[in-house]
Amino acid sequence: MQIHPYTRLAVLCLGVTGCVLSCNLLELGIFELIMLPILIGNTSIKIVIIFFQYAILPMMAMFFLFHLLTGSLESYQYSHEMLIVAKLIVITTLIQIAFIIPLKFVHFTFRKWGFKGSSLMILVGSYFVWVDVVKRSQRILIARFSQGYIQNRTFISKIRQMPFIIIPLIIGILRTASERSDMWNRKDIRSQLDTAKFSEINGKSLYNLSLYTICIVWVLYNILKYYSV
Amino acid sequence: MLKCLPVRNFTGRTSYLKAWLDLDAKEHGRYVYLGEMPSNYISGLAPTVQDEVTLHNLFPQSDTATTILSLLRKVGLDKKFTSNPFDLSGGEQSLLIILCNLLINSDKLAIDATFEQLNRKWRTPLFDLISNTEYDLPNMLISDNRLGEYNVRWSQQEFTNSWDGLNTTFRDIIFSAGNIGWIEARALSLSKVSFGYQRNNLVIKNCSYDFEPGMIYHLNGENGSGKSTLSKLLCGLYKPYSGSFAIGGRVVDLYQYPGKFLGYCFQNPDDQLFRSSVKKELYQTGQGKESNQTNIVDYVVKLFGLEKLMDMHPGDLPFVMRKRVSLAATLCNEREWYIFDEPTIGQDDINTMAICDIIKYLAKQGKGIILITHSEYFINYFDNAIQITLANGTF
Repeated sequence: MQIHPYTRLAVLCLGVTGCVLSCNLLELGIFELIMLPILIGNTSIKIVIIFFQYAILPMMAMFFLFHLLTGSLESYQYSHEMLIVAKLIVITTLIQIAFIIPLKFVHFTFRKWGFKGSSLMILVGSYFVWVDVVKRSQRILIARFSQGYIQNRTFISKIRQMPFIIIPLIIGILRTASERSDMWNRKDIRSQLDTAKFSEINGKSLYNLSLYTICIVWVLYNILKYYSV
Repeated sequence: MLKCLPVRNFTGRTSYLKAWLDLDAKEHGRYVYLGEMPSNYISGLAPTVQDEVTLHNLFPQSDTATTILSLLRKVGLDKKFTSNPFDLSGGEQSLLIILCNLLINSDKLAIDATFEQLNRKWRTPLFDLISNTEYDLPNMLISDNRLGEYNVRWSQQEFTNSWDGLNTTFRDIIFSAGNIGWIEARALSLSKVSFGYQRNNLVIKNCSYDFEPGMIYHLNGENGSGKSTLSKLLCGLYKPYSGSFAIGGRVVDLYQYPGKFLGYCFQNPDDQLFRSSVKKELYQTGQGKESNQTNIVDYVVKLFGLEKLMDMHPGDLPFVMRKRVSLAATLCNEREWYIFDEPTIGQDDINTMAICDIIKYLAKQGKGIILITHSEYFINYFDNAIQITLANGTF
């Protein structure tokens, strides 16, 4: 089950609009419960947990800590703060659904979003550069292991390698970027990116239609509720 | 007939090839240069091998494209269609980039030693294809150090320019080592070792072997058969799923002591050289016998003619020199065993002979040597090399 690029945009625009208008913690919670399995299906539960652990949880903690330290967290404000946190959680879920694209559909998605020529090449290139960064840092670490620079495999030893990894990593990426851009020019990859037939997603699948429906219902419900109040 | 450029290292052949490409370069033409290390020529815009092929397949309906794709299937690369191109072995990457750049139908294609990593089984159909004038293929100029090994008729490109500023032979220096006091190797054994990058897809299956010190072993096998993976296992870079290693009869967890017993010279020097100068690469602070290191470095620097390059960044050196620096760095960090993965890539016959002599010298000093190469000429220089063939993940 793959999400079509137009569905991604719809989820982002309609979903976020609904969230901004919504003032009900329970409704946000229900919407998040619907969106969370879609996000997990789009990526993996591991990535979702890591993101929650290292991004959302610290953000929430900082938010409450700030109000606790400044003494501004009164009991009547508590539900308001919770509402903001809930909105942030739902919006980050929607952003992840929209922008975490399986690598084989990256070209198709950006093309459908209207990018072409140089802008498409830059976007696709910058999307894949993260894969490159991970692989390159692994290569540097392996090289250092192979030379016997790292005496053992403890977590601390690996952390101590960070300064030795970062500098060659940056130099390597810049060097590769320059070589690749030259190669892309020489091969005229830009025009090929616009026309080559990569893997596509059927936007009329039941899954995509259901997502559209959920988001439309969500935004209409919140608009009606907002203006009726 | 294919046009070739039969010249030695440091004669400016890479510059010549690039100049040949630029000579007629027009704004909308395709002028492609492919060098020794295929990973540098993968587009970086495709997450899978299939997408890399798609990105280059300019005329999918043409006869030429059909033939190229059928060759790709014939050699079995279609089984790797879902893999990331950077995860392929060196030989597989070479074949992929050559085929992709034939598919893109460039106006001119310069191939600089890219064939060196291919095994004979893959080279033959590839040369059959590119020699065939029926297909609509780019105007190609090939420079390679192993032209004589390929069973192809070449038409030579006239080339008289010569730049021998760095041209040095290091053969005479080899036996001037004196009393360095190399560490003697102990026997190395593998017992039922298995490993795979994914649990359900083993690359090395139940391998057992006893390597004796002072011997030269030639680890051969087809491209993608797991030679480099096995070497990395021996070096302690990967953890085997099962099985064990023993050094001098004692079982050792190599994974816990990476790079301690075996020195590994990577196929691609760009996977090995990450420090800011050649000097830093050679004067290492690994687990070597530090007190002895200055003697070894001095010797190795002379051996590989690196005196004038000590303060240079390895990335600024030509490929041939980077490969030499990676060999030198492996030797400087002295170990009982050495694994040389394609040590002669990009090296001409004089340098190949010299590397051969260095390896023979190391074996005489009691070191254990494991060689991985697809050069039949190179391996024939060793009279007593023990052949080990890796097929389907086992010996």
